[in-house]
Amino acid sequence: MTKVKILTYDGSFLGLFTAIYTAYYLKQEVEIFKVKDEIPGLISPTVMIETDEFKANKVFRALEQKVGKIIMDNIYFVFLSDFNYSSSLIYSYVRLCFKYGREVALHLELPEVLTFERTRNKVLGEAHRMTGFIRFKKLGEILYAQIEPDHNILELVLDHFSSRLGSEKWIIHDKKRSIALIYNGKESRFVTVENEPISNLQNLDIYESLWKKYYDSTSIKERINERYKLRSMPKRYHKNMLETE
Amino acid sequence: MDIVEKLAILSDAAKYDVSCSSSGSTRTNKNNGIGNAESSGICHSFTTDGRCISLLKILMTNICSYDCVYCINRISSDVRRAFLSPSEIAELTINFYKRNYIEGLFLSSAVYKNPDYTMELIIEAVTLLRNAYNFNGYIHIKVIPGTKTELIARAGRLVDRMSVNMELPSEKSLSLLAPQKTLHNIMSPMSFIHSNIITNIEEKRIFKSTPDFVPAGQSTQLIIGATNEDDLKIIRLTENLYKSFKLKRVYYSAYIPVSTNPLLPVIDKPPLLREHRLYQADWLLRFYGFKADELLTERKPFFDTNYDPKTDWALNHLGFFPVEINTAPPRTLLRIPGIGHRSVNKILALRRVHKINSDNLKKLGIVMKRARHFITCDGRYCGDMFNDFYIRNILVDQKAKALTSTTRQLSFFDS
Repeated sequence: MTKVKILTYDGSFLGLFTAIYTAYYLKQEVEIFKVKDEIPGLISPTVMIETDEFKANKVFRALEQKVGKIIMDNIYFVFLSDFNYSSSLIYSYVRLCFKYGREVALHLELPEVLTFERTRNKVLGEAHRMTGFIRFKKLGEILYAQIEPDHNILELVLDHFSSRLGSEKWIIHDKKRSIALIYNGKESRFVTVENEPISNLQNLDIYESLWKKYYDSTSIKERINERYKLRSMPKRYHKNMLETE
Repeated sequence: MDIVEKLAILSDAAKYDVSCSSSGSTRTNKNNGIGNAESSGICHSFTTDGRCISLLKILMTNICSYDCVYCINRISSDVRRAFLSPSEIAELTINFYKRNYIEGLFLSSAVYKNPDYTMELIIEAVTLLRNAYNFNGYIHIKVIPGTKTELIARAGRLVDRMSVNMELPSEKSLSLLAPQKTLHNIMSPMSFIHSNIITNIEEKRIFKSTPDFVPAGQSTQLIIGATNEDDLKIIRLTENLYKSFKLKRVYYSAYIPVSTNPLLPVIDKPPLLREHRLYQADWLLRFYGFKADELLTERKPFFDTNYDPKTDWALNHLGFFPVEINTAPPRTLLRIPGIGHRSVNKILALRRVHKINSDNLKKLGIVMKRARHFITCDGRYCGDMFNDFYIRNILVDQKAKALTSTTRQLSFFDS
């Protein structure tokens, strides 16, 4: 049955746009995946696309001119999501962008537009959640946090923490993706982390004990409602949060 | 007593204050300080009862010279007492903040010695945070009723939000259960804060460098079910507070039995459904353009347990419906049960480019279970039968039913 062609790319934003460029010139149906994605039913021919800055920029510029900055940002947010359908979704959305221009966002009758909007909201929603759920541990002068978010939201929390903890030194380590955001009190950088994450974090300092105590004593036992709690703070986040780990 | 124990006592004592909001502040930060106040508010954790933890919510002390019957910290109550010094409070806040446990501090207190003395200590803690630690995070303090206005004015320039708790919805109830409080010493600080906020906004228009005064506004709290006021009385009061004092929020706290004083009602469970209905109605007042007198009447002064207030309103105003999704103005769309602000925005976007059918609505995430009985899409009715009895039957709030069936206040005939 398969007339679908599968393109893969290196996982970079430019790589995705190179793949979109390539897809436009193929006269057949195309699905796009990151190399590391799980590709369902590997029966179709797969082509690995070499990232090409020139081609990527060509698509990017044309698109930005057509739809403006806000929609370009939204595309980037969807790119940061970790669903294996994200790349193909962006490709379909880009096609609709060229068809409808800025009005594309109004077309909520189209499943692609709805899914796109939902996916974007998931990413931004998780980034907002993480601004609350991240827990720093004081290691000497450095505040260190480990996270395992569903989506690649590390760069979306950068501005929040650098304006809040602007004169502190801190590290946020995404264990799932082996990357970390390091802030030295002035500027930030992203690094890939090869070593094992710091594990010996069991010893609690006084403020950590106080926080656990506070968490326990602030619940009202006459109103216990575990379902409410889990809806707002799903279990998968608990292991990296001091009060629930 | 060590600090862990103190914190346990003083956070346990503060938890009945339900406010947790950390949003809406526009205060300008000091340079090189720590922290900022987000305009959108952030939840850092959730308690096992499902409430958002945003602020370190503690009492400075629970040593009280008042004897309010409904309060666990009243002077005659046999509880362990503790006191946190201003510097202990400041250090706790800063260290919790740096570790990203909280958005800031919500400091309240029992009446220690007298209202002014208590307020001075609260101001000392807040001054330490703002000036010694350069703390830019969110601070909410409680005004102790009876504090002199000079102290309120000083505090207002340091904090983001202030609140004076009404606690009980009428003078009569206050004098019955909180003999040392009067409606006057609750309302006068509220009105003082309100007029200062207004003046501050005007001054800022002329001198940009004018320091902020309570930039996140004021709020209050009412205890529900400790006295016999009906829901109509409560939401009329609420409406009035929003109108005359521009309060940001009115919070409702279902009365939890803390003593067996004969003046208090005997209940085995806090009236959670009633509290829930009041919050739903409060939402309708603030964001949906409803008036208190539209929602309840003297003849029917309590909210229906079977329907949320918006559905209840719709069922009693069927003449207003069905509403045509493709042409109704936004204000009318907002009155449809199951359709909120978000849904309205989606409907308005989509109908600019596409004629909306009921299938579209489902996919937009509209609660069709409720909405369909009240709408038409391109002339076609989306429910089954536009009939009063039929819709009433089908829309009974099953969750609420389950919630009330276990409390003994309801009689057999209520269902």
